[in-house]
Amino acid sequence: MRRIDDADPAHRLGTGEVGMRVALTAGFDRAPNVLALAELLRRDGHVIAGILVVTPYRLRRLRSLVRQRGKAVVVESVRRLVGLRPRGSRADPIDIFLRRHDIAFRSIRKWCGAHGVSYLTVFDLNAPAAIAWLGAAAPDVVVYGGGGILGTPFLEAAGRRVLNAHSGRMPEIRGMNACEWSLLLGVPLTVTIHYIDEGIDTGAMVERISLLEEPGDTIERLRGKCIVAGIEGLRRAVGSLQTGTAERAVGADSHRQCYVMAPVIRELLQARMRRKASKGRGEL
Amino acid sequence: MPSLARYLRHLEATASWLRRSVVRGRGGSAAYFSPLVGWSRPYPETTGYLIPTLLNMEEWLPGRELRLAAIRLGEWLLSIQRSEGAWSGGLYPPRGEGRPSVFNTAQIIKGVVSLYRATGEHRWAESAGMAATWLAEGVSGDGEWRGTDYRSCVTPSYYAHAAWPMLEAWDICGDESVRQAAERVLRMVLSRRQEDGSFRAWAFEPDKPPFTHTIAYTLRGLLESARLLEDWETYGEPVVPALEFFLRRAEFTGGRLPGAYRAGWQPVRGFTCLTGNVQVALCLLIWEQRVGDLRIVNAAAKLVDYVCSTQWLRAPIAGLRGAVAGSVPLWGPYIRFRYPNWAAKYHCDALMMLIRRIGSALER
Repeated sequence: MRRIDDADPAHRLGTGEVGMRVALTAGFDRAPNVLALAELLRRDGHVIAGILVVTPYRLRRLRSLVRQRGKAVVVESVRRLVGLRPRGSRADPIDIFLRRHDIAFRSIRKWCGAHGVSYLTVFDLNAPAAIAWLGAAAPDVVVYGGGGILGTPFLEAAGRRVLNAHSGRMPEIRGMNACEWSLLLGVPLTVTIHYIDEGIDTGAMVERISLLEEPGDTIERLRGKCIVAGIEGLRRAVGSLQTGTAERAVGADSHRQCYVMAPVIRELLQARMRRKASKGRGEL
Repeated sequence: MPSLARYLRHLEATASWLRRSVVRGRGGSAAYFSPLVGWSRPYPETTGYLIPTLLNMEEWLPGRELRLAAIRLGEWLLSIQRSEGAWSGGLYPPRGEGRPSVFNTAQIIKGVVSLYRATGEHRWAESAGMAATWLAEGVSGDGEWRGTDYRSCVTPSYYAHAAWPMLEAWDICGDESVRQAAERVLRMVLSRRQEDGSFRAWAFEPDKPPFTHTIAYTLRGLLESARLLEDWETYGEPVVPALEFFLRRAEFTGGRLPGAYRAGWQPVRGFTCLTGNVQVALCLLIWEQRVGDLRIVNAAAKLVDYVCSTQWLRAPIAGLRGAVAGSVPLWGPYIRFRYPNWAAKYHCDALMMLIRRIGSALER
């Protein structure tokens, strides 16, 4: 990774005395990663300039999700929207994390109301209303917590300072279901903190966080671990921006993108994980 | 794994439909089933390339006499082979005397070559050799068929799918002139490759957008030729940009490719050519054999899954049970309102290849 040069706006941000102005995005109102980030960044002394939430109640979005992930996504989405964790995740790392940090809120809207933070719901993060809101919020950095692919106008409005936690090792693993693809392709389980650019997970990297797969870990649990590591990584990244110690690595665009796993490929991964669990050793 | 069981169920149903097309095929395999007019006359071209599919399916669906059916189809094809070595175009019997067809002859070669490989009987090799020699003699110095094909002007780029069977015949007969002629055809096709990875003149009609069916014919022809000639750099590598394109499109569309593309990969929306969908899946799986990346298998699985989702496995009418339509919707422009035997054939091929690939990944 290379040092951010002086021309980089991110390098000039913050003095270490005053908190950063941080805006966040979320894919839905009950997104636990965004709730955790907002609360922890606030506790760290940063100013939450506002949270942009993409409303999931749109036929086009639902249709696109069903096309990409199949009909089962509807059930899972409804469960998530009402605040339930995915099936089979009793010891969900995100729930444990929220409890450990005494974060009781389950709705971003309510959290914003309680802390006097601007809250806007939009159909699309690239909509003019979202970009105008972002301009008015004037954040030092945007922390991406979901909501779809960002276009150039959004990135420009954010001064190209949009941080993301990607649940895969960049540059090898780009795109969707990154945790699952890492397991299937035998790439070490990693969360990459990076800046978002116009490509899919091709932006400059800030940090790579390695994760350990432990006996008994399911795909859902590992996904949860990735999300928790991403929350902690993004928190550190905002802090290091403030102190001017953030570093950027070159991005990646030479590796094949990952997409939502087809049912047969997901079953292949599950079968391998079961076999591995039964053997209790070795690589996938 | 539920998906593998599902694939096997679809393979079984589609194979049963193909068997019905043979029973109703008057010696060959009926070209299609139409809900309006029933089973068609047999189609020598697709009967020919159905043979390797039947032979391969014997392993998956034992006890169905698929091998015997393949041999009988082959014998029927030998009985209608023309004296110059070619086969006539269109359905059988042809109207009038019929005209020898370059493309159809080439596809039938695949059947007789596979029978030679399966049985070792020389009658199949002789038939393939005669047909391939006839094809080779018609290839001009610049790799086109002029005068010997029903197309008197430009040889379409999807005739790469005719060069491949010529190389299959060369592989068993060793006639160098056949190999050289096939390579001239392939070079002609490659000369039409454009910067975006597409090929000029790869449609049925010069002024119409190509269906994914003829696009996949072009890509498959080159991929298989690369394998037979052991020359990936020359014949396989130029196909990769188109395969990368289809990989992305398969993912973005959830496996439901637009049925045709205009220049610059502009999609013709509103229908899916199901044959093309599974043919593209096969091309992706063949490419994946070389690069070994399950992300490619993922895209192929989505293409196959979509075609499975359009099949009616419990249809009360036997001609619809396990059939694969030409287009979705059924009134789409490719093989409108009909269920062609080649759609079922490619679906079976793709299912078998996918099951085999997942099986090998499971064992790893």
